[in-house]
Amino acid sequence: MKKVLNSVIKFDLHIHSIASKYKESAGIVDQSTKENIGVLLNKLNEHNVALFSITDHNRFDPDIYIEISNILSQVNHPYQSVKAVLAGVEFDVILDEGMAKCHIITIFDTNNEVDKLNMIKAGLQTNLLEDKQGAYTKNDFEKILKEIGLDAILIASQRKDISNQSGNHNSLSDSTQDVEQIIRVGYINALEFQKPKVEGILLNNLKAISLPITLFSGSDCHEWASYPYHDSRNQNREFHHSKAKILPTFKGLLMAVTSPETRFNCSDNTNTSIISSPKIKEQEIPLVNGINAIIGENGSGKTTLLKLINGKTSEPHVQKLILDNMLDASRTIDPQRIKYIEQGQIIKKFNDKTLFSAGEGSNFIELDSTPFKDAYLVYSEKLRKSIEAQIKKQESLNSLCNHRISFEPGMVSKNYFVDIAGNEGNEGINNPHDKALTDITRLLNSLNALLGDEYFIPYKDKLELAFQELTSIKDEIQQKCNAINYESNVKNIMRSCVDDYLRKIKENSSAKDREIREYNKKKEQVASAVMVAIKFTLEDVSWPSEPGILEGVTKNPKQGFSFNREATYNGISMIEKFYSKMFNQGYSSLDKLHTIYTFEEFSEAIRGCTSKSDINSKWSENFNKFIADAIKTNDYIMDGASQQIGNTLGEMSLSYYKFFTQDDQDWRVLIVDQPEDNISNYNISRKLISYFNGIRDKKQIIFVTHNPLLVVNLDVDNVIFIKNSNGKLEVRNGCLEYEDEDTNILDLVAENMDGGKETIEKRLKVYGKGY
Amino acid sequence: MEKVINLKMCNDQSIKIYLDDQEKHIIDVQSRSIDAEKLYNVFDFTPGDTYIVLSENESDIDIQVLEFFTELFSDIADKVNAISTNIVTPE
Repeated sequence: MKKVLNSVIKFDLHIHSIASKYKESAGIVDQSTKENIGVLLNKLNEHNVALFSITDHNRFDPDIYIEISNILSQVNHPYQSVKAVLAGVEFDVILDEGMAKCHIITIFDTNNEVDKLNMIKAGLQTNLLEDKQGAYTKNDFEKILKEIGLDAILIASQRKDISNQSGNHNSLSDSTQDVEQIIRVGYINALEFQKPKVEGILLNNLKAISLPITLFSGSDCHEWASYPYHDSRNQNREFHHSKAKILPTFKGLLMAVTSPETRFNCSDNTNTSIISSPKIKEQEIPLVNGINAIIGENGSGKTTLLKLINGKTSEPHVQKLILDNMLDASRTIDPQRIKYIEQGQIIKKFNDKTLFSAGEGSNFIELDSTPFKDAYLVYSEKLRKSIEAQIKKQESLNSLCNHRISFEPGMVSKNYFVDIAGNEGNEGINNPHDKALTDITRLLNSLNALLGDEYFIPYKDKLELAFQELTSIKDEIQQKCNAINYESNVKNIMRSCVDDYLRKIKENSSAKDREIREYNKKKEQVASAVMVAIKFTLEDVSWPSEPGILEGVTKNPKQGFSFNREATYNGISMIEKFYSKMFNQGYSSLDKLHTIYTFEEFSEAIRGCTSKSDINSKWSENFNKFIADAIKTNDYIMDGASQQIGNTLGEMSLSYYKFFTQDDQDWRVLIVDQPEDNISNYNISRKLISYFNGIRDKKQIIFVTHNPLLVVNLDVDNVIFIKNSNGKLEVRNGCLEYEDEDTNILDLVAENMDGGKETIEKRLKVYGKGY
Repeated sequence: MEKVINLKMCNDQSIKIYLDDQEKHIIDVQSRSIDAEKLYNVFDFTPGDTYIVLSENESDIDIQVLEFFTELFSDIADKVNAISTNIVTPE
C-alpha cells in the first residue's frame, strides 16, 4: 500500500447488496450477491473508485466483505483501481422522539478482520429490525454501536435544506429538531447528499452557521450492473463521486472527516519541478509533491537531511553524517527554483531590517521630502524677516528721541564747498531678480533633462514648446537682473568719485568749515531718522501664512501587501511642532511673535538662544532639528487595505511567510528549517497553516519542525521521522493515517513531538482518546 | 492726501507749528531745538500723504531761526513727497 499522499482518490460509501432485500422492492437487489461481486468491482474499477463500502439497510453480511478482501488482496487482481472496502451499515434511526427516521451510514474500523466483521453482524442481531418501515430509536442505535464495540464514522443522509423538517426524505433534518446541535457535538461526522444541487444548498446552510462538516456523495446503488446508478430504472445522471486526498483506509476516512478543508476539493499538484527522493544507503525516503514534514529529536539529523536535499553540504559535521550513512540526493532541479529558509535566517533578516528586501533593493520606496522642506524653509525665512522688520520698525521709532537739532547761529553760515550728502553707507544692492533667475534656470535644466529621457519622447513637442516659453521668460528676467547689476556698478563708481571729492574737501577745509559740516550732518541725521520711521510706517509687517498639510508617504503595493514609508509630517499640520522646536514656551504661536519688538526679546523667544548674536545660528539649528524630526520616516506594511502588520518578530515572520507564499515568482520548492520559530501556536493554527495550505497544490514544501500543529493540523502529506542511533540514521515515513507492522505515523508524532499527543487528540476528537 | 505744515513765528519769538491748521508743536525761545520724534509726530504720516511747508513771520523776528526750521521741515517734506508719489494709495 502507498505510504504517502500524492493523489486524490474517488470513493463511494453507499452501495447496497442483497442483504438489503427485506426492505427493497422486489428484484432490485437480487443480483447484488457475493457471487456477482465481480460485476460491482468491475464497475468500480471502470469508474476509478478506490474505496467503497457496502452499506445495507440495518443488515451486515460479513461473507461479502471477506470475499472482497480476498479478491483485493491478490497481487494481480483485475480491478487495480479498486484499493479497499470498508465495513458499514445504513441504519434507520429516529433521533428525536416523535420525528421521522433518517438514514445513518456507519463505517466501522475493522481492517476487514473476520472477527471484527462478525462483531458487526452480532451487534445487529441483538436488535434486528424485521419491519421494513421500522427504525431504531436513538437509544437502540447507540446500544447496537456499543454492542459492536468498534470505532465508527457516522454519515447522515441529508437530501434537502437542513431547516426542512417535512419528514419522509430519510434526512437528518427529518429526524431531529436541532440539526446544528447534533453536528456540532460531533455525533454526526459527515452528511451524505446525492444530487449536486443539494450539495450547493448544504454548503450554503453550513456556511451560514459556520459549521465545518464534511459532505459526501453516495451512489445508493442497489443494482450493481447499473452502477453508479440506483438501478436500471432510477438513474441519477447528476451523480458524481466524492474525492479526497486520503489513503483508502478507515483511518484515511477519519482524517478526511476531521480535516475536510485539507482532504477534500484537492487537486493534484501541478508543480512539475520537484526535488526527488533522497536515499539513506539504498533506502529511498520518498518526498511527495505536496507537504513533507521532517520530525525527530534534536540532533537526529533533520537539518542535515534538509541541507542535503538543498545541496548545502559544506559543513564538516554534515559531510560526516552524509558519509557515514551513505546519504545521497541527486538534484536535477534548478537551484533558482528553490526557496530555502534556514534556521535563524528570519531573525537575522529581521534584525538587519532586510526581511522584506527585494534582492539588492527594498520593497519600500524612497520618499522625497523636498516639497515639505521647501515649504517650511520659505515659511521660516518669511517669519524671521517679519519679526526682524517689526523689531526694526519699533527701533526706528524708539530712536527718534535720540536725534535732536538746535538752531546755532554760527553754524548756518555758508562754506565754500558744495557739500554732498547721502553718500554714507555701503549697502550692496540686493538684486530682487536673482532668486527668480535661479529658480527658472533650475526649471529649465530639469525640463532639458526630461527632453533627453526616453519616456518623454511622445511628449517631445509639448516639452519643447514649454522650453521655449520658459526660455523667453528667463531672458526677460535676465535683462532685469542685468539692469539692476548695471545700476549697481554705476552707483558704485559714482560713490567712489564722491568719496574722493569729500576727502579733498576735508583736507582743504578750515576747522570752522569742518564744524559747520558736522552740524549740517547732524541736522541731516535728524531728517534721516524721521524718514526711516516714515518708511517703516509705509511698510506694514506682513506675517506669512502657515504651510498647508502635505502628503509624505510612498506606497508600494505588492502581492496583497502595501509597503508604506511614511514621514512624520504626512497628512498632519506640523505648525505646532515647528513652533515648539523653534521657540521657547510663551512664544509658541504667531500671536506671541507679534509681541516681539526688540532683538533681546527675539533672542529670548528662540529656543536655546542666549544672546542676540546667536539668533541666526540658533534659528538655523532649531530649524534643521525640526526638519530632521519632521522628515523622519516610519516603514510599515499593510496586509490588505486596512490591517497594519505589527513590528514584532513573530508578526513580521508570519507576514513574511504570507508575503512569499502569495508571490508570483517562479520558485517551485520551499525548504524551511523550523517555520514555527517565533510564531505563536495561535498564529500557527490560525494563519501559518493556511498560508502553507494555499500553496500545497502548486509547490513542493519540505520543512523540519518540532511543532505538532504543523504536522497534524496542517495535515501533511508525508511525515519523515528520523532517529539517530550513534550516528546511524534510521528513517520512517508515511502520511498521518499510514500504519503497518513497524510504523504508525500518528504514534510517532504522539511519542516524539512535544504536544503531539494532545494535538492528535484534539483533531481526532473521540477517536484520539487512545493517544 | 495733501497736508500743509505751517511754521509761524509769533511775537513772543516762539515758533508754532501747525499741521492743517492744527497746532502740533511749539519751539520756544529758550530752546531753539527739536528732536526727530517731534518732527515725526508733526508730520503724522499716513501712506499717500504729501506735504507743503509754509512759514509766516509777520514781524520779521528771528528770521534765521525760522528759516532754519522751515528748511528742516521742507527737506523732510521733499523726501516724503518723493516716496508718496511712487506708491499707490489704497482706494
